[in-house]
Amino acid sequence: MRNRQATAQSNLELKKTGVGVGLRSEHYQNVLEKTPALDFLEVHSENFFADAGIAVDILQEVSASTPISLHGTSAGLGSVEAVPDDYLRKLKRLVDRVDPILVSDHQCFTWARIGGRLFHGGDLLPIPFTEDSLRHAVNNIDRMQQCLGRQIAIENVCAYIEFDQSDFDEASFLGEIVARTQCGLILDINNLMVNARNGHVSNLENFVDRYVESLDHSAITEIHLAGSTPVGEEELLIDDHARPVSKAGWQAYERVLNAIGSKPTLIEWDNNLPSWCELLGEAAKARKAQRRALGRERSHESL
Amino acid sequence: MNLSDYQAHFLEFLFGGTSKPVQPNSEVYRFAVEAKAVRALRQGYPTVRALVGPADFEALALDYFGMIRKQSGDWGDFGWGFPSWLLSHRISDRVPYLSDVARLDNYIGRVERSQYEEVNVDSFAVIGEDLASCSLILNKGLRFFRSMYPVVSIWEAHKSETPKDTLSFAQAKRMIAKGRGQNALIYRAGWKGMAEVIPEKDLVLLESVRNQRSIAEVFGDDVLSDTSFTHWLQGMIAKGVIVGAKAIH
Repeated sequence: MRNRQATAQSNLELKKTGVGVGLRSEHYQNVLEKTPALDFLEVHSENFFADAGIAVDILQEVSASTPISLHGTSAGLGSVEAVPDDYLRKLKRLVDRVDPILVSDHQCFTWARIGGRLFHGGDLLPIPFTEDSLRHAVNNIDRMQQCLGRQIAIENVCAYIEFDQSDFDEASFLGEIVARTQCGLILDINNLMVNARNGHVSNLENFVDRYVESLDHSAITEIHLAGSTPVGEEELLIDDHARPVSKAGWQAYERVLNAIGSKPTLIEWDNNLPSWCELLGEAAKARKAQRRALGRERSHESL
Repeated sequence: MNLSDYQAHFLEFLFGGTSKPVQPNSEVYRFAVEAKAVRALRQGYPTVRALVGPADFEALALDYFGMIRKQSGDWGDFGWGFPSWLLSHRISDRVPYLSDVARLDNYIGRVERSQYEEVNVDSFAVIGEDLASCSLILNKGLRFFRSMYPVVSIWEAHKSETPKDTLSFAQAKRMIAKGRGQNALIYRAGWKGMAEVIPEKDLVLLESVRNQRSIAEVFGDDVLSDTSFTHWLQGMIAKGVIVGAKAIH
């Protein structure tokens, strides 16, 4: 899918100051009882791949009043193997069911063949930033966009291993993918920060700023914010989405907004879930940061 | 190592096929995936877990994950083969009914995720005088099976926090001692999967309906005058087991 303009999108369009949260089963009741004052809700696509059942019915009902962002965790777009037809068929059916505002997945691999049989790794597995990886990622993203008849977005992931060999840094790699597929980007600020911390980057602010500066800002369709459980200095920090966004996370977010302007923003919280009210409180913080950034944008324009 | 080999080797490591990590810190991924595999099976097989306890269940889940591995992008699909895999596992020597209980858990999960047909009341109008030319329609979403063990009572008892205090537990214990089993019918009530015992006669009837045999063949030519048939059919329609009738040639 080489032409972003030509892709069929949802009838809905998310405003650039839109704020949403991840909807998990523990909060279904809250959302059904009262339509939340949010611009969108994000769900993990594969949790709704069933033919039918309570999850599918609830999502369809919720999607009638609140736009849905479908975020996949299992496509493995960086796999050498092509994303299987069965996966694409289920994703297409879900897209047709809920007419999402965004379809996205991660820049990682998960499918591989062992002894001739295709297996799924069950996690967001890191890929080296090489020409070979790029070729396979482009093929898979193109294939998914063709199948869905719309643009998708890909997200930068946490990587807990380092590769000896690379032809690109991560931001350039993503830039190449965008240029070749016309897909969108999800900028996950927490993933950037986790990678920087695990990579013993001394100046976090500088690291985030330089990374963001090298991205195509017009391709960024969504920003993701999340929190991680702190660990000892010698331990790996794991992106567990089990805490509120840290102070450093909010600061990084504001700097990113200043650099690229307002973008739809998602609060991710997947483990050790808070109450629905607390989650909405995190969304309110993002909204305030968006307003501050928008205020700055306008005052710059008026100068 | 080329990219394809790296990816295959990484998965092999995740599944425990090799203990040699691809890179330092690869075990972070293995721990995460193993935890997801245990969680997926725990959600899909609550009765099995209640029967064997959390520690043995986790060991079983990890054995299964390492041996069968993951083949679908949807964790909800993971573990469909668990009941038959259990048959060949040594735990079945100790808990011989475990595989059948797993099968019941599995069918409950499938029924809850499958397209469940609505009853088409109007379709019953095709049942006329010639019962050889029409058949009943079985809901494609439901399941039934025979077990040599009292699987429904075991399942029912282990829905309780204290299974041993339930009548179902006492019944299951008695039936196991006498070597008696149950036929299980698994259907959906609203969104929830349900299981109940059905007599052998009903199970044979449902098998015949599933094989699209005519009403005359399954129930007899003068069945419409039999009130017990009418009651049976009403009960099956109420549960959404029979969802309609159709003309056959």
